[in-house]
Parts: sequence; C-alpha cells; structure tokens
Amino acid sequence: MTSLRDSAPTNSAGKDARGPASASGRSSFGTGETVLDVRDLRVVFETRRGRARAVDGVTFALRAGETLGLVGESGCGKTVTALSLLRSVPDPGRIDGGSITFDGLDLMRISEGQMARLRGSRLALIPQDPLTALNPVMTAGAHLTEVLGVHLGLTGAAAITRATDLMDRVGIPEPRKRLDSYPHQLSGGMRQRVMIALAIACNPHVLIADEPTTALDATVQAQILELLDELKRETGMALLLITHNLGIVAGHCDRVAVMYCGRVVETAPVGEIFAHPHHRYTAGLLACVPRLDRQEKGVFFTIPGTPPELTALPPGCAFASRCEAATDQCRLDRPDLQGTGGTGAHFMACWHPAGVGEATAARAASTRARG
Amino acid sequence: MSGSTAPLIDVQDLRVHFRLPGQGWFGRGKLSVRAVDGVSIAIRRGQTVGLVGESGCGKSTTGRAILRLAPITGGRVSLDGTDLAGLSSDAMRRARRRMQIVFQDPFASLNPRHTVEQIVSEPLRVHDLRRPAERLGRVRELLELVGLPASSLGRYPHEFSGGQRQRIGIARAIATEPDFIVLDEPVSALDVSIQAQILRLLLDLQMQFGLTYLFIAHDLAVVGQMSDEVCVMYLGRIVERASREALYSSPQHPYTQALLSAVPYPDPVIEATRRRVILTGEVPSPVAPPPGCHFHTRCPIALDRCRVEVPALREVSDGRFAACHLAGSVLGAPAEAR
Amino acid sequence: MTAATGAVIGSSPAWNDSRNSPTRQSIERFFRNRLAAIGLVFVVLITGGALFAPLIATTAYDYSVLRDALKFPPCVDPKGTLAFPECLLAKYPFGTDAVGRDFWSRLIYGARTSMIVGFSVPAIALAIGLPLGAAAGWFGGWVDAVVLRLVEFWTAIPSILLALFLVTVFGHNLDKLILFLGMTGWVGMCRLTRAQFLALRERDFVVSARALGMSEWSIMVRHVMVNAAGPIIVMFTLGIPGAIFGEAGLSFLGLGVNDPIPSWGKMVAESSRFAQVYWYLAMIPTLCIALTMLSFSFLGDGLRDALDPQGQR
Repeated sequence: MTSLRDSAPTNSAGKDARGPASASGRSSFGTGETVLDVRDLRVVFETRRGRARAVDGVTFALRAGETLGLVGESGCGKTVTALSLLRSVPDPGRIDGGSITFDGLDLMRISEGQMARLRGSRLALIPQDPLTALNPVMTAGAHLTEVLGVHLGLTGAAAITRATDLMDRVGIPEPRKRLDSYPHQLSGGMRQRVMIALAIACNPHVLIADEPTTALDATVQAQILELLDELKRETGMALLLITHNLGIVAGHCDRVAVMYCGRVVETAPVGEIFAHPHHRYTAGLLACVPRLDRQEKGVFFTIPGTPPELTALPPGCAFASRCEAATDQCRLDRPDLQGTGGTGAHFMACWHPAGVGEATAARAASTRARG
Repeated sequence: MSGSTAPLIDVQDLRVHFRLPGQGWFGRGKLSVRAVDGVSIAIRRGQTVGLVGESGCGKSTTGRAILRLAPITGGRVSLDGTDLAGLSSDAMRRARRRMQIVFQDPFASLNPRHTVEQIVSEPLRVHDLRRPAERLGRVRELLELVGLPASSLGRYPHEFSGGQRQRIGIARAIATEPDFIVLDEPVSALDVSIQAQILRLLLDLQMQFGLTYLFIAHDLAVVGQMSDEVCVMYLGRIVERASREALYSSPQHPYTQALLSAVPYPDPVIEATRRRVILTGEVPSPVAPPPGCHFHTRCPIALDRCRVEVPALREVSDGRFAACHLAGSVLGAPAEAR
Repeated sequence: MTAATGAVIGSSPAWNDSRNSPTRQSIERFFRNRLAAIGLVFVVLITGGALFAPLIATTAYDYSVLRDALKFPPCVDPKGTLAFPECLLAKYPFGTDAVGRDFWSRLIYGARTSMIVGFSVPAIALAIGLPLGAAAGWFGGWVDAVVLRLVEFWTAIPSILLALFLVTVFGHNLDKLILFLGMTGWVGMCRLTRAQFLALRERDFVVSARALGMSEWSIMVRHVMVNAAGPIIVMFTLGIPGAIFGEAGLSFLGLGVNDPIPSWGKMVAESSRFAQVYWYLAMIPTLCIALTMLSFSFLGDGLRDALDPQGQR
C-alpha cells in the first residue's frame, strides 16, 4: 500500500536513520526497539453537524529512547490521537479503525481491565493543564500514593518513601514537605512537576506529553522540557511530545510528524524536516513561526485562509484550499504518505512537494508589509 | 518617525495597586498588590512599543490603566500632551475615541448576543460618527479593511473561528479612527498560521492609518516582529527598555537574557548548540514581592546589594535602559557565554 | 436615500438570517428536550384555563346549591347511569363540595388563584432582588457589602415562619399573601443577579464598551442585562412552583386566601374531612398542584439547559 507501511518495519528493525542534526548526540534515538506502533488509526466524532473525522488514518511508530514530536495546529487531531492511544477518546468520539500495538500487545483487542492496568503504568500521559488534572481536595502525596498503590501495590511507609523519591526526581524542593501540599498551594510549574512524577511513577515505556508546557511561562517551560529530556535519557522511555510549538520540536524531538486535519502530512527526522520541508503545509508553518534570529519589523510569511471543517473535508488534499501550488489533482485526489528518497526516513503526503531550492524561495518571497 | 516629535502617549511613573478582598464587615482588605509599580513609557506617533513579561507581571494592567480602564493609584498618562486625569468626563469620552484596545481572548471580547453589524457599528453609535443612514456602509468598509466578507454582517460571534473573531475585534477598535491602540496579547490565543495573518493585518493598518501601538505579549519572538522599542516587565516594574535591535542583540538585564534564552528556536541546528540560561524557581507572588531588586531570588548573578537596594531604571548605554545594579559592568558579555 | 435603502435591502439576506442567532438556537435546544416541551404545553393549558376561567367554568365559583351538596361526579357515582365521555358534559362533571358548589368551576378558579400567586410572587422577588443584586454586582465595594449583609440577615430568617408570622399579625388576603411570599423570595434572585453582574463586569466585551466611552447605564442594558437574562428567566420560572406550593400550604393551614375565593390548597383542606367517602375531592386539587408544579419545573429545567451558554455549540 503506502510506502510508509512497507518501510516502517525496516525502520524498527534497527536501521539507523539519523538525520544530519541528530548527530549532535542529543539522545540515543534509533537504537531502541519499536514500543508503540500505530497504523491507520481512525477516530470519528458523530456530531449534529455530521461525522467529523478527527483522526483519519494516522500511522507512526515510536522506538524506545526516542522522542517523536506530533505537531499541528488546534483541531488537527493531535490530542485525539494521544487519547486514542489510551483508548480514552471522549464522547461522542470513537475509534473507527486501525491498530495500536504497544509492547507487542494489540491495544484494540485487550479487555478494558487490561487497558486500565496499562494506563498510568506502562503507558502514561501528562495532560496540558495540570490544574484541572489534579483533584483539588487531594494532596500531591495522596495522588502519588494512590497511583503507587493501584499499579505497584505499594502502601504505607514504602509508598511514602517512593513518592518522596519521585518528587525529588522531578526537581521539587523539600519533597517530603511538599507531599502534604494541595494543588492550589503549588505553582503552575510545580503542579506540572507533580503530574510528571505521577506519570513516571511506574516506569512507563511510553510517555505521552500533551502540550505539557502550553499553560506555563517561558522560563518555566524551559525547566519542564529540560526535566523531560533528562528523565528520558535516564530511563530510556519513549516520549510522544504533542505540541504546536515548532521551537520545542526543534530542541527536544528526534523525529517529527506534522498533522493537518486528522492526517499526518509529513514525517521525518527533526534535522531533515527543518532543513528540507517537503509538504507545502510544513514549509508554510516553518516560515510563519516568528524567530528571534530573523527580527525585522514587518516581515511576515502567512498561510492564507483557515483549515476546513472536519465535518466537510474536501475529497482531495485538505490543505489544497490554502496552498499556492494546488492543482486539480490536489483538490480531487488525496495524496498518501510516500518516501522522499534521501535518508529513507522522510515521508510526506503531497502531490507537489516543495523542492529544496523552492522552500528557500518561498521563504525569501515572504512579503514585506513595510519597508 | 523622527526623534524630535513629542510622544503621542506619555506615561509617567504609573502605579496601580489593588486591594485584595479581605474579611471584616465591609470586606475591606488590607493587603495590596502592586500590579504596576512605577512604569514610564513614551510612544511616538506611528511607533510600536512592545511590552513583554510573564503572566502576572502587570503588563495587561499597564495597558488597561493607560486607557483608564483600571483604577490608577499614582502617576500620569498624557495623550498628545493632555493629562487624561485632568479631563472632564465629557472630554474623557471624546478622548476615548482616540484610544482603543484589542483583547487576547477572541471568545470573551465580543458580546455573544450581538451580531457583527451591531458590534462594529456600536462605536459609531456611541460617538455619533457618520449619519445613521451611512453607518451600515461604514461597517461594510471596516469589515473589508480587516478582511471579512460582507456576509458576516448578520452573523453572531460564535459562527466565526478565533482568527476571524479577532478581525471583528480589530474592526471595532479602528471604527472610531483612533490614534492609539493597546494590543493586549492579540495573537496569543491563535494558531501560528493565523497569528501571522493577524500580525500582518495589524501592521498594514498601522501603515495605512498611521496608528500608534502598545503591543503587549509574553512571546519575545512575536514582539520583535512588531515593535520599534521593547520594554521588559517583571513584577510590576520595567526592568529593561531598549530599541528592538539593541534588546535582541545584547540584552542588559539578566532577566531579559534568561527570557531570550528560554525562547526555543525553530531550528534544530541552533537548538543543539545553544547554551541556555535556565532560571530556577518561578515568579514570586506579587502580593509579597522580594525586597530590593524583585528579580534577585532567581538571578544567577545577584549580590548582597541586590537584596536590599531597588535598582533604578538607568541608561546603561546610548538609548538602553536597564534596572540592574550590575548592568553595564559584569554583564557586558552576552548571556550565552556564562 | 434610495442608495441607503438599497444598501439595506441588498444586505437583507444576511440581515434577516436569524437562523444562527443565540435566541433561535436556544429555542431549538429547548424543543429538543421532550420533557420541557410537555411542561410548556401543560403550562400553557393551565395558564389559559386561569385566564379564561369565566368561559370554561360552568357556574360562578361562589354559586352554591345547598341541596346538591356533596354530589358524586357522574363518572364515579355508584348509582350513575352516564358512561365516560358523556359524564364530562353533565351538570357537575366533578361533583360538588360540602356546600353544593360546582367542583369543576372551583378548580378552574383555583387555577386562577395559583397562577396569580405563581407569577406575582417571583415578580415581586424580581422587583426587589434584581436592582439590589445588580447594584451590588456592578458597583461592588460598600454597596456590595451592604447588600450582602442584608441578604445574609434575610437568609437567617426561616421564610415560612416569617410568612406565617406576617399573616398572623397583618391578617390574610390574596394581596398580602403575595406580598409576604415575595418578600421572603427575593434573596435568591438578588444573589443570582449579583453573581451574574459580577462575572459579566469583568468580561472583555464590557471592558471594550467602556473603552469606547459608553455610559455605565448603556453598558448595563446593552451588554450585561442581555447576557444575564437567561439565568434570571430560569430562576423566575423555577420560582413559580415554589410560590404555588407556598400559597397552597398557607391556604391548607387556613392562612391563605379568604372564602369564597377558591384555592387548590384550601380545597384539599376542606375536602380532607370527607376523604373517606369523597376521596376524589382531596385528590383532584392535589393532582392539580402536583401537575402544575411539575410542569413549571420541567419548563424551568428545559430553559436552563436551552439558555446555558455552555451548551451553545
């Protein structure tokens, strides 16, 4: 079928597919086994306005010790993808097809009880807003000992000791004292650290972080991301980092999957995708991001228009209505992910990919509003 | 854009102190929060001053206090040389026509029960601009200016996406043909591709109508794209003020340096080689700010002096102001070197 | 002039396109709720009955024929000859009471009493609570503090006891009953209005209106009231069954409306003496009270869901 599916097992077999930038030795990615394999995942939401395909055939694999960035704008399906990995898609949504293999287990086949044991232990999630994720009438310690009791059977002093260790591990000062704090007594960054402590309590193989720093200030965001990197290096877990911030992706991910309207439109090692974006949406997105090193007042690149409604997706490429290079083929025929040649780990779904030279040209063409 | 002209907006030593609700029969609290504590900003006609800081630093309150939408405890705000505090309520109403605001949350800033036509024509009605029969035409003109179709007229805010709502908010703000607009985090709630559209619209409008902006944001990268001069705020005070080029190329205050270094670059090559100043801890509570320099609890180079003595905002070098005892001496070297 | 008219007409498709107005959407959401729609139907029937009582009732409510006292309705009369549909057209379709008054007519006029009380009591509560709550929420500071203390003081007094006390001291008739019940019911309305105004005061569209130089009064009317109206309407609707129940209760205790004006509560009390044989005399007004209260509750709940901005999608 699509070339990605054919080659995905090859990747997981240990073929090193590092991009140029990953040679900087940021992590040991590429060496681990595939721990999470998602194929053709589909999630639909039945709404009054019709059927919304929130996730429409998403395929990716995650290896031990690597960080995969799932990037996209609001409504592109990245959060729904994360929730469906835990089989907790909110109503009125449901998983409509595809397969999720985690540690050799087919997550679509196992019982709800088995799934519940996996959630929060070997497969953990850090949600976006730590304030609503913590129970306001439970102390940080109560949250931790609860998880330790349910998944590891730890109680009493053993649980307290382990909880203190975990708090210390995520960089909370005076961990023993902080166990007795209620969520409202902790700052935003501290709450997120508690969430991380909860997530790593049972040594997960895969940690899904859904916009873990969006609710935080810039200086605190840097602290939390540093912590996640460090934990990943120490434990060798795989990290699925969901974010809309391409800067975070550049600094903390090994591979990237760009989503648009429920589909992965491009996936590649992080150095590849930033140096040579092929899909027109990826290229546009990269050109849109304000950068500190290109500070010139009034120079912008914009992608015109807005994404289509998920209930009324066009038959062809969902990005066609906003794409300068779109042709009738794009509007009628939906492109599938296919290899770009090159390193062999770069896939994109575009009929008219931006060439290397072209991408730079597009950036140069960023219109001047002033001057 | 010449340096000789008097500023359009001149803010001197602005202070906004809030009283926290307390106990007691009539709910008079004792604790007061110094949300804005002696801020001075001058903006020349046609220029944009960026105001950056983390949540709770008082940047939004500053913007609102300038428009007299927050109670001012001290200091003065002048528009074109006229002190706003001295205006009669009628004159203040007329002055409001010249100063407008665009909000962060495009979902909260539009009355959900009014149509776009009602929302955008309201300023015309309030200030009695245009004859009633001509107002609809003017509303159409405004919608076209912000890039919305005329078919939006009879629709309600909930029928629009975030970016489109922000356009409606901008149309409302420019309806009175103001001179000065406070942009209170106008793109923070929007997606990257939409952000760029709105920023570009704001710049186009600035050029077309010679608007003067106070651009409030928490994202240094965005502020840099919009501003001529940038002020960095921390716990109610401006800690650094400089032209855009100067601030981004050689920040003087350690907080500015940390803030800049916390901004991730969308470039893996730079990110891999970059050394970061990662601050420990978080912003202290504005109810009980630390004594001396507010930043000393998180400052990597704080001295004993910083813990007791409040540093004044002083000119470190030509046109660069920083509120740091050490600015200009030890800090000459850029942050990355340490 | 023609040009201006042309512009207006040209825009009319969009202009008149009220399909997506919040009000229209609320109405749609309301009718999607089966119970609420049923509640509305009953409310309309009962209110209609109360309004057109003289047309529907067969006799005046105080017309008494003593020799016809305690007649069975034809349908339950053990010696009766009329079968079901015809029996409703008989002289006394629901029989007569102890002094020979037509029970059907008294029920219909009783609905009138209930509706007058049901609508007037929340209206009084609204008249007191809305301005106080609005002032407290909008101006804050000492105004808020004074209103809050008043509310707290009032909450501390058990409302039924207060109403009983007032009725005992000042005597009872329909007007006083309404006044006393209304005086005890304004606290909830005041709290709600205060909370609404307090929340809306800080909303950006209100700040924006202020930045435009709109007067405080215009902002309150154009921006705050229209958004606070939903919850207030819901509270008003849900206040109706409470008032009806309060009146019925006081009337049952003999402290309600005076003879010969009929009231469902009083009818239950009067009939309970004969309940052994004439069971329907107590049961029918009881059912009327229950049905009315239930209808208004369903209507109120339906309105709450329909007007809730959270439900807007």
